[in-house]
Amino acid sequence: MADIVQNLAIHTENLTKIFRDFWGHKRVVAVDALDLDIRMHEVYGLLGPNGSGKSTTIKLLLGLLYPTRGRAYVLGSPPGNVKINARIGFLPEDSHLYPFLNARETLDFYGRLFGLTRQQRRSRSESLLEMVGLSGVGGRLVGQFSKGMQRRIGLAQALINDPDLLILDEPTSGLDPIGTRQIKNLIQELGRRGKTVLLCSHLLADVEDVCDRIGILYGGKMQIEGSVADLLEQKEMTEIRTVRLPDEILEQIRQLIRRDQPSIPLEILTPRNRLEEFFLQTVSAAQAAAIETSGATAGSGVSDFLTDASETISRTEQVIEHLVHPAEWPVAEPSAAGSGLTEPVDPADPTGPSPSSSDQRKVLDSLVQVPAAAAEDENDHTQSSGSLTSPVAPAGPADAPAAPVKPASAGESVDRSLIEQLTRRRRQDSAAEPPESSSAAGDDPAVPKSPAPDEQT
Amino acid sequence: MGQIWAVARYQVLEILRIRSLMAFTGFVLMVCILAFAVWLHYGWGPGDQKVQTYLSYSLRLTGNFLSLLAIFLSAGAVTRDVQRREIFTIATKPVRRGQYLVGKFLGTALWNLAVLLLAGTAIYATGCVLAHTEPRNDAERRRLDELILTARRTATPTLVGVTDEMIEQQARQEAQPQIEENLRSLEMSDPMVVEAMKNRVIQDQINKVTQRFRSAQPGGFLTWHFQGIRPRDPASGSLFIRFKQDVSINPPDLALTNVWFIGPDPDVLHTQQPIITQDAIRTVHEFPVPVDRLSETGELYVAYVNPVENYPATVVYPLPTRLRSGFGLEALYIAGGFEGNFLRTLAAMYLRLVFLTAVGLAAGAYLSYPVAILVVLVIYILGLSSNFLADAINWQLATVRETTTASRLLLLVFPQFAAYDPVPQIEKGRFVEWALLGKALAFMVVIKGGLIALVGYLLFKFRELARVIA
Repeated sequence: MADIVQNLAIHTENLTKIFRDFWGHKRVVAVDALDLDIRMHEVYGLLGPNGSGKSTTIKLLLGLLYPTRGRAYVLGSPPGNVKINARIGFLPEDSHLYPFLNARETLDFYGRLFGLTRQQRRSRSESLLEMVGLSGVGGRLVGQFSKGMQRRIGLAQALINDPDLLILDEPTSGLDPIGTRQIKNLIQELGRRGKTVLLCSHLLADVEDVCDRIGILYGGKMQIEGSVADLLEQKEMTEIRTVRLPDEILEQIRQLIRRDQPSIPLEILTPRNRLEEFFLQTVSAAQAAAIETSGATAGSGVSDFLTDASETISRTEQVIEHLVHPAEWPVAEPSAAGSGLTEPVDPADPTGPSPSSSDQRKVLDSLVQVPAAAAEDENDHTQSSGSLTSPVAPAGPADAPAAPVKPASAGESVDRSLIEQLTRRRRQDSAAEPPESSSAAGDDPAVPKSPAPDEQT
Repeated sequence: MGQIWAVARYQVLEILRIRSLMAFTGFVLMVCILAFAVWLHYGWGPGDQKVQTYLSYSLRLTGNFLSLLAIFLSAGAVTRDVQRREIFTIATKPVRRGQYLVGKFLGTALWNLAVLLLAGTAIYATGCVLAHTEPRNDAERRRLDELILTARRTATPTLVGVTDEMIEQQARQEAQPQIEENLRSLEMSDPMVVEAMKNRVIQDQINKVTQRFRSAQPGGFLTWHFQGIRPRDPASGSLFIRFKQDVSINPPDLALTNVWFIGPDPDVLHTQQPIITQDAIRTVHEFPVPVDRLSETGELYVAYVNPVENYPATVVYPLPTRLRSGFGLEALYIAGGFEGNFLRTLAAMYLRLVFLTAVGLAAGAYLSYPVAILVVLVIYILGLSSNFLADAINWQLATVRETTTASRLLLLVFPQFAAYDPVPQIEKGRFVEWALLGKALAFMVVIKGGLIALVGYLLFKFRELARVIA
């Protein structure tokens, strides 16, 4: 039993929370006999509608509430253990930061609570502010921040101790699509670095994009739990993706299918970009044109001080990992992803090797994603590629060529004409020297480096 | 310790950034105090009394305002964090709840100290200016220096030739008929009730006998003996005899002629020259005596003669009562400077702020902000009226012995701000005793404040921080 608890990041047994009124009458059963296991180095998504018990579960795990029944263990200890708290990063639902402190002071304060040295506090604060895109407003009071900016600084404070376990309660609420994408990318990157992440949200797309496993709560009870791939795979459907095909070829394909399977539903569609993608392209173009903003900027990549938790895996485990997973994983050729038909890879394929979650993701990425260079070259093709879906194209990463499974995908298909248009307008407005490309945008893994305006013109 | 200091540091920063509060504090402490000094300057009255009024007003205003401020800030320190839920991000860091509370306490207490020192500096500086400009003649300046801007200690005397045993023995003898009469007429059978009745009758008789020994008929005299008088400067200067007299029959002009013989030996009636004063009855008077009348061991004998011209008035030196202590006869001597006294006054005021901060934090650790404020304000008002409450309880202790345990517990629970209030001392130029500071620290801060803080800590330690208690 003790071993199980030690080897899990979070473990609950029959965890129950009943809220009672002043007279002790039972009012709400917020969490009902919850058994939850979250493994180390896993990104776990806790889903559920409002009032389903997600936030209460998190508060129970953090010792902010006490269970009515049952037990919980976080990193091997009961909640509220001060030593364990030093390894946890927590972003509450509404940030809840001191409004009278500015962004730098906020990070300094939380750094002090973790006992960081002055040098550490200073360097980590600057690095995190850069990462969340608030380095330009580090001297502004948090109380004057917009909600999205407060979420960003809230995320920064959750990371200042380089946590092993990150608990995020609705991390993307109030964020603009860029911020949402950045946080999702960040969670993915943290997951790659071996951090354990518990993500609590009712925004399904967020969870789907970043989580290894999910659990769905309703009425305080766990309704279903499993890996994202297992739960979302539509085993009865087939999807073929390729470039735009002439109508005659499409008709031939249709006839071919009808000939063998005349009764099955069949639909041939031209895919559309998601609005999120289009929005990101537009804003990326504006950032590339260095249009001024008083809000948050794009932010940079993941801060350097955030360690790779996988480095802490014991030597024995490394050997086992090495033996189980061959060093060379099959990486698909870019051309296979960019122009040819792709076949879905079943990660649970018993015949093949069983890669670790991060390796698995890399392999999947390489198989289903368009490499950045290839995507830029073939931008027009991507826009006009066709999709054969039977009967309806499933939503999710497979539906969007630039799905956020890969950090660089956000701006792979930035429309150069947009950049040129915005740059030209800005030059006309300011009649100033042509601005250099935004460093913030250039450093952002979510927003690929765009060519400098001079190069474009 | 780093975590405690972090919480304390940012608590101070939070208070500093409530700009409206800062402005209001500055207005009350600076503008009101300075404006009052200006108003006094243009007002009517002796210069020494103006300075005395200024000291009394400014110190009381500062003490009461900072007390209220300490209550509001400390009660809000935790409740704000809980209600705005900033506690979520703090309690999930490696900070123990006790460390968090201590940090909040330290931050609020440091801020109180800073403001008190600032206000104290302003009061002292303004007082110095007034002391320089207000006295219009040497007499006012001398009174100011000797009676107000100084630190005088009090010595209380014993009657020569009269002991407590003697008084009690006589009182018991005189009380016996009254006790027997009560036993007969009231038909008491319960031994406890009988004992309580006896004690009450004997105590009344002791007061009567004592009062009789403190009386001088026309032509009679009393000799008082003071010990332990240690003036700061034994070679020169004055000490002061302070007295208040009552009479059996009012003299026609409500004033008495008093004859005093003061010296280092018991036989002062024969060795010293008389000092004759004319004084109104039932009023406190002071007259100076050269310090060389003291013996080397700090003893002083004061013989009072009630001259026959006061006939038929018998002069009585009233006993100190629980409501009015120090009346009768006492000797005052300069034992220190005003600056030291002023600093001790500020220290005593600060101890009250520390106590209120602890109580405010303890209340805020569990209750919501308005309820916590209400609780602490009630305690504060009880503390301010502690003299009256203590008198009532003491009276009960002295008369109804059956309820002593409950009454003593009540006395222990009540914060007695008045008992540790230094302002009545400093405004009269009295020495603010170190013992007063020690008692305030031990009983008010450590014992009562500590107990309340411990209860607050336990409530906070086990409360669910994610639940706001309305």
